[in-house]
Amino acid sequence: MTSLTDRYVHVTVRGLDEGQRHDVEQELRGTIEDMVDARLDAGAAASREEAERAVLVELGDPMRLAAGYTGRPLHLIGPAIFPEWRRLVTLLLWTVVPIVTVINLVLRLFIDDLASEGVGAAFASSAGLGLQVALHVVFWTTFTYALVERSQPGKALIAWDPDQLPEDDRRSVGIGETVSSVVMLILVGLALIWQQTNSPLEVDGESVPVLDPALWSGWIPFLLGVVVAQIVVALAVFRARRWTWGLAGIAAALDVAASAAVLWLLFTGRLLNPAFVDAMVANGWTSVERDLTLGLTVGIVLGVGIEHVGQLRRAYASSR
Amino acid sequence: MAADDVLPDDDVLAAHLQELRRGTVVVACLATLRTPGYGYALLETLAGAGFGVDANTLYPLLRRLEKQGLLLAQWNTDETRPRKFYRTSAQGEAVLTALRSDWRALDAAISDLT
Repeated sequence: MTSLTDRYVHVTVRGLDEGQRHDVEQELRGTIEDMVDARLDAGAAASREEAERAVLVELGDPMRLAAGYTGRPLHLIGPAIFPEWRRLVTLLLWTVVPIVTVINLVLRLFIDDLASEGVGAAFASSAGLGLQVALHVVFWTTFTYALVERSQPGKALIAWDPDQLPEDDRRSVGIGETVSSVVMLILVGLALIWQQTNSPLEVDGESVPVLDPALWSGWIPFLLGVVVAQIVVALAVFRARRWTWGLAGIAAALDVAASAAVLWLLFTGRLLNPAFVDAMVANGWTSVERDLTLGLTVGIVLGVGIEHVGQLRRAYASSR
Repeated sequence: MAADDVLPDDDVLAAHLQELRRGTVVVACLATLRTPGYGYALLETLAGAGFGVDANTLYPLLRRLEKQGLLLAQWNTDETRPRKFYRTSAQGEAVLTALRSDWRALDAAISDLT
């Protein structure tokens, strides 16, 4: 059975180059023996094994000792290159992952056969794909930077300069915020379309849209147009890096118009599909019209109100 | 109020002292090894002189100095246990002189500052 010393020395020298290996091994063995003898002479250990163990503890982790001999770094990504890596990973996660997830979701909702799997499966698989993409992004970025670290240790790849500073946080609009706004708007648009083509509610095997199909002649295209316009506004805001009075005003006007239209349709009883209402009543929800009217009104007024007050405030802050 | 009265935490002082010592180990090695010596003896000498250095720091350091040409190494197989002896080379002597004169300059500069 090999002794502790043999095992220790073996682990330490196996990472060294051929030329160094034998030399270091000899010297290390000699050192360990000297240190063991010193301990025994000083009476610090009762037996040779005990002294040997104590000496190896004193010498420490063989990986660390070997790194001292080879000069290789004991970190994956060093301090010189860490800020770059961190910024790149954050940027990629905020952009690539949402885009891929949304594209996948769109494909799943419209191209796959939803009747067999249901919409929940589409969302779940998109979320799963998003997670996988996120993991890949982090892994490959880290791997690349670990290689860079080892090829030029202690040096950064892209030197920092003040142009990389983000705008003042309170007032500026970053890419993360823009991407999430655009994604939300796309989901709203998809919801409008999807509730017609693949509604979750089915009567006699046919899907029943939530909103009155007659609305497709004019009102729903109008709402879809508002969604597209809001996406354009969001992109313009990103371009300008902040909310200006003009853009905030346009966004508010669009939403107010859309909300007014929806609420008017709601109150004149033209928003909900009569077949949908009948099906809900038949299933036991007798006050469906009243509940939905109330819920939608409160939801729209609060939602639109809060969002646009926020945008207008930011426009005010950035105009000062 | 003597300076000793307001010594901070032990750890704080120890950390700063370690930083101060870190640069001086090389000077100590080059100076001591003007007489040829092997690793473990050097370790004990330095410990005795107040330059406590870990074995796992000293040995890689000796190798680095050898690679830089400041130390010459030779295996001594006279005794039962072969030992690697290090000796300060001519280049090492030159570096040692330069380091020591720099040290004196630093000391003078600090005296001027305080």
